Amino acid sequence: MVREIFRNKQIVLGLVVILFMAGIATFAPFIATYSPYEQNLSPEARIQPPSREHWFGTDDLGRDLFSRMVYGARTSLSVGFIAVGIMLTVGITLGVLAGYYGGWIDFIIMRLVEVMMCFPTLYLILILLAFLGPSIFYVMAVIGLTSWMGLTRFVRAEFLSLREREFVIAAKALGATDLRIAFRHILPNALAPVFVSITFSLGGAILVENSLSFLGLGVQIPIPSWGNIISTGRFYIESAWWLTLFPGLAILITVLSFYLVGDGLRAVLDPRLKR
Amino acid sequence: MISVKHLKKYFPIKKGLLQRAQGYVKAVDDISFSVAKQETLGLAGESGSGKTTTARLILNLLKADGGEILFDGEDILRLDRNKIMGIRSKMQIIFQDPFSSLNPRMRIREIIAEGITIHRHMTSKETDKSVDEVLEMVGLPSGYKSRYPHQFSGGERQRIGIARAIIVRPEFIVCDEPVSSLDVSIQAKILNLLKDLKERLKLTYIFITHDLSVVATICERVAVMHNGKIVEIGDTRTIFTNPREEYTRRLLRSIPIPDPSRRRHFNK
Repeated sequence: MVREIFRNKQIVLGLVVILFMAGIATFAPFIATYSPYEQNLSPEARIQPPSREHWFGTDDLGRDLFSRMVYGARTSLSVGFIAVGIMLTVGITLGVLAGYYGGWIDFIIMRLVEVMMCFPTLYLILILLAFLGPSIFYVMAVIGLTSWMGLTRFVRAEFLSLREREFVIAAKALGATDLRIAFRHILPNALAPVFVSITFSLGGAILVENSLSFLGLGVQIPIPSWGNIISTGRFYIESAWWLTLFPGLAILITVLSFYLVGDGLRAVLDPRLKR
Repeated sequence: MISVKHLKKYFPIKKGLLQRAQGYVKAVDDISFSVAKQETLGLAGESGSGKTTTARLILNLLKADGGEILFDGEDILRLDRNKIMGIRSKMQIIFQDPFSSLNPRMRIREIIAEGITIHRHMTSKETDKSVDEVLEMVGLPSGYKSRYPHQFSGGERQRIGIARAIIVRPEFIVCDEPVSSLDVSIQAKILNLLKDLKERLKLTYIFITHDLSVVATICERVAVMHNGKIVEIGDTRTIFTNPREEYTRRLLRSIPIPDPSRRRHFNK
């Protein structure tokens, strides 16, 4: 299985890009050539095209765009990972409860899933953030708490089919506790769809974070995020192409890599898709 | 050792939006029987006759809807949680399908040692020793411990399942069609192994099967089930030579006998 995963070119390409981005985010202070916050308002420093000193040019406040984007990677990836962490915790817990116990617990959780799924996610997030006020922590929490439903359904479905399997009954006959059966016997066998879901969700969460930052409800200036850099850049789109192109490409490449990995994993883990 | 009295299990048939019960399937319908110490009782019957449900009720894996099950004189349907835990290690089960009965993500060592991990606190050295011991009993080399279930054949997997059951030193084992999905040559080996273990560990078996020729080789007494009821119970030889019920006769006629000399063996 592991060998198959690393033989899949799509997955490897995606992983390489993700690791590269993660490396940039981790070592941002060493990679950035300037401070992402240092302004230079003199006319000859503002909105300069890419040059040897400023690889990606400078923005409207004379800040180095490359350095802001390097720190922006930090923001985007950490929002993505923490939001997905929240999603996993909620999604798996509820899925396990619903699938393992069934009955009225399952009924309540599944109705909750359906109610949550009725709302278009982005609008729900926008409304919640409009009430809560923009903050990077709210962004993480709100993205995490509005995206767990699909995972819950996956996990529940796996549990429903696995809990009747004989190795689960054997564990019950040996006196294993519910917790042991759920997490030691069933969950490890239900993880394949979870992995696929994690990669897609990471890409999705990063995209949502950048959309929110673009709209001004996400990460707030001066903290750099690719989304809010594009948001400022759009005022200068006719004269200063670099302010929208570079962060736009960064979002595209990052999100695409997560989707490549997710799609590849799905193909490897689901034998029905194999040619 | 085990005595079942008026045991009942009805599964509701639910329909409609409100999931109201529209009737019941009487999976186990008022059955009574007993098994003596170190005896093998066969439970025979077609699929859907309630054999497996009966077994799972006895093992407390399903909740009974009525009746009592006495294990060493104690009604296990009315025990509290702690007592049930104690009794779990005294009764075990061996399954039909050796492919779905072993967790594909666990190594053989963990699978077999699970009962110890749950019931006794042992150091990993002692656990290892016990695992080796039961592997030897079921005729598998101890080198298999670090492998995964998919690396084994059906017969070997069935032995692993048996090892998992006997490691907790049970007194009573339900064998739920343990040989039905195996090749005939391997069937005989597993049946012999079960017989040996019975002698060695002084076990009592309930042996579920739809195959009466298997009953003939291993069971002292047999209960024939049909539609959730026991239609006939008695000595294996008596039932084979002189079945009283039409249903039993039909089951007996369904045994294919490729060798006429075996027919004579039953008719003696």
